[in-house]
Amino acid sequence: MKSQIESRFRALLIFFSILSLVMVLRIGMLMMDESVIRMKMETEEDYEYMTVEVSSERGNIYDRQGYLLAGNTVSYTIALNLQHANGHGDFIADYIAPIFGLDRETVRASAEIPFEPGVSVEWTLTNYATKEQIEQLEITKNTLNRTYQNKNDKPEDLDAVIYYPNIHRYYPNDELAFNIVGFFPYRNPNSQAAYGIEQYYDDILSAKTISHRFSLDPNVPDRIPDIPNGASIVLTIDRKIQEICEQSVKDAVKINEAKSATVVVANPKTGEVLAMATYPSIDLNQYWESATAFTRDNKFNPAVMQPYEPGSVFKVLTMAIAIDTGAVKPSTIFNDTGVYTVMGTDIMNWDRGAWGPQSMVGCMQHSLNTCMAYITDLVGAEKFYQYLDAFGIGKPTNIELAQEDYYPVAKPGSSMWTQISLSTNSFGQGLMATPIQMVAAISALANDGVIMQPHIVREIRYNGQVEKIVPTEIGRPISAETARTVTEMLATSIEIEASDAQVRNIRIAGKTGTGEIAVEGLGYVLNTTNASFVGWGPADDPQFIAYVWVQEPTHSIWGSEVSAPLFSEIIENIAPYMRLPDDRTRKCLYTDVCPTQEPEEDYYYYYW
Amino acid sequence: MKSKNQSAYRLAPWRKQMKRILTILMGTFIAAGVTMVYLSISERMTDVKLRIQLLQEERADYSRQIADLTTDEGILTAYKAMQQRAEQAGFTDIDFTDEDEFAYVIVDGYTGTGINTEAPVQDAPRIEYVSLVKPEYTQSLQEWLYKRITTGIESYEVSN
Repeated sequence: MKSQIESRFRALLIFFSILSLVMVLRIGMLMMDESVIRMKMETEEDYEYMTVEVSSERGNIYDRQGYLLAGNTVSYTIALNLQHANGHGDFIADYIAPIFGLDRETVRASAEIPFEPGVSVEWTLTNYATKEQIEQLEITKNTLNRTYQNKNDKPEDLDAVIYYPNIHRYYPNDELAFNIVGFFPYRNPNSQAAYGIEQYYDDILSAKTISHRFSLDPNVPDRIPDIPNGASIVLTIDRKIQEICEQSVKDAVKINEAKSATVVVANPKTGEVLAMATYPSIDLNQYWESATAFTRDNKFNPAVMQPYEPGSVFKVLTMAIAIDTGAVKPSTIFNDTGVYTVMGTDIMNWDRGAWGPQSMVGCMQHSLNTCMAYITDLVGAEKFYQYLDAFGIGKPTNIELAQEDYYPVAKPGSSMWTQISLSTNSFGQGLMATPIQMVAAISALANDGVIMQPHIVREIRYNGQVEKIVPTEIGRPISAETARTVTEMLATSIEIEASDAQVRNIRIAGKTGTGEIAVEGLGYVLNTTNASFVGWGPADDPQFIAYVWVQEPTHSIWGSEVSAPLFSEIIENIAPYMRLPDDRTRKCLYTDVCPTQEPEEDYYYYYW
Repeated sequence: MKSKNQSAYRLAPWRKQMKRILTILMGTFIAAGVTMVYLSISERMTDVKLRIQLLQEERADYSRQIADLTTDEGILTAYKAMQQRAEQAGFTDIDFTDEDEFAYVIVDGYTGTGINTEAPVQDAPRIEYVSLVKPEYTQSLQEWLYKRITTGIESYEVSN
């Protein structure tokens, strides 16, 4: 009996052992099965991990005083949970459409989009709802809940309406410094930033978003990564000076019925740009207007993006080259007959007049093209173009603004160059430069012959660290003596001429320019000009350089009548904000002698 | 050869049963103890992870609020807004040519207003993220074993 039981137990043991073996083998086979492995992975994905989106914010942009020019603000995405919304389209549309300013029929149709798990679960109504609209939505929801406190009595509700916060770009000063800041198209975040600082520094300003698989398994340690916000950028511009310049160029465009106007104000000693204004302008919060506001001939930021033939303002450089090479002195006399012939082509003055014997000051005062053609012949083509290279003409300045353009200068040996080019180049025709290139080049005259790197960024702040932009010398095309001599010549010329560019109680040096415009297929057209003025001061110790360009003014075509008064108006208004006292006050502050009246003309030291 | 020896005495059946019960109970207690420790640690770990997630969301919310408030401040101090408030408050533009109204004074050491910072000046680094946690601490035992078995080497991937 006992052995019978034992044998039965043994058989049972064998049976269970075989069963266990079969089960283990089966489990092993299942674990190797591809569909099972996939199912396991899908299950893991659904239940063991959670994908977390971690985002940082786009960096801010400030002016030099710390006022915000570009920041971020919160808006809300409004969506419908279709599972709850289906069948309540009319009710939801009645409440939601007025709150968010949406079309009632669109909301109703959205709410009735059939719910399909995994296919259509949610439907976004808008991505840009404001805080106030969300508050209104919450009040409406609460009111409905209070009205029907018993959930079963509630016929319909707004529980299907859900919202999520988003962060997007915002420009609190609207159009102020629009051309410098550029824009980030927040309504289309997949697009790149456009123009200005936004585009130039897009890589370091950018917000970052990463998807992180966060393990829900308590045995797996994990951490959600920290992403620092994008770098913040502090500009060199002063918004008060910028605003004054913007108002002035806007008025100038309207008064002169011009195509556009641009002004650049910089510190020649550091290369810092204090203002860079242009009109037409756009509100950066409505950046899409840029598509219609700007054209090929009227760019977003002409100061860096639009080379043009500057005309007679270029004579400043020609004269500096001639003085620096020793080809002429301020007292050198040129006898103007009204015509200067080069290779059988007559070069004439702006008024077609003959001005007789003129010193170099007279040449600048009367803006004689013939005189410039004469002195460049004395300098010689090779040296002239070497100097233009040293001044940076025909090369980008590398200012920190996107899409900087430049136009290479045709030089001897190039098929584009003839002997006449040298003469026309001497008075700023036949070559092109942007206002920022002209500012950089002419700043050598305002800074003892030294060109500082033009820059518009003062600091870059990132994750608690600050990179300060240090003023850098990039060239020394002329001697300090030449710079002072030409400055004095131009200051005298402005005074003698009683130019409209004169600034009350600040002695400035400067030059007007009226550049003719070449039209493709037509050549230079009459009565269409670029009116410019470049000036710097105070003449004895320049603290600013300003360049004014009015494109195609119609009431008057002359730089002396359009750009010179604009320069004067701007400098008079911005001088206090540059902490620049007038000449008499400066003398009172910094010397023992304090004149009691306006300075006499002989108060200044002349070189001749 | 089959042993003919027999014990002089045998354990009473109840003692045998007691011994078995105690053995099973001891095994059960040990298993229960290990399970309790495991569950306790798992529970704490889960709690910590949930709190991290909640705090992360809270931080993201604060971060958004800070950005929003910074921009609100920017809107309130926008040039046009300040100009409008100044005009409404009765302020007028200064006549800079009138020395009774406006004067320059030299103040030694004054460099003007603006953003000043004591932060160290360094090159702004590029944005990139690398986990500081070694892979050993981000893998479960199963994952570690699996990788050892399938690749034969330890994985040193940087997690992200």
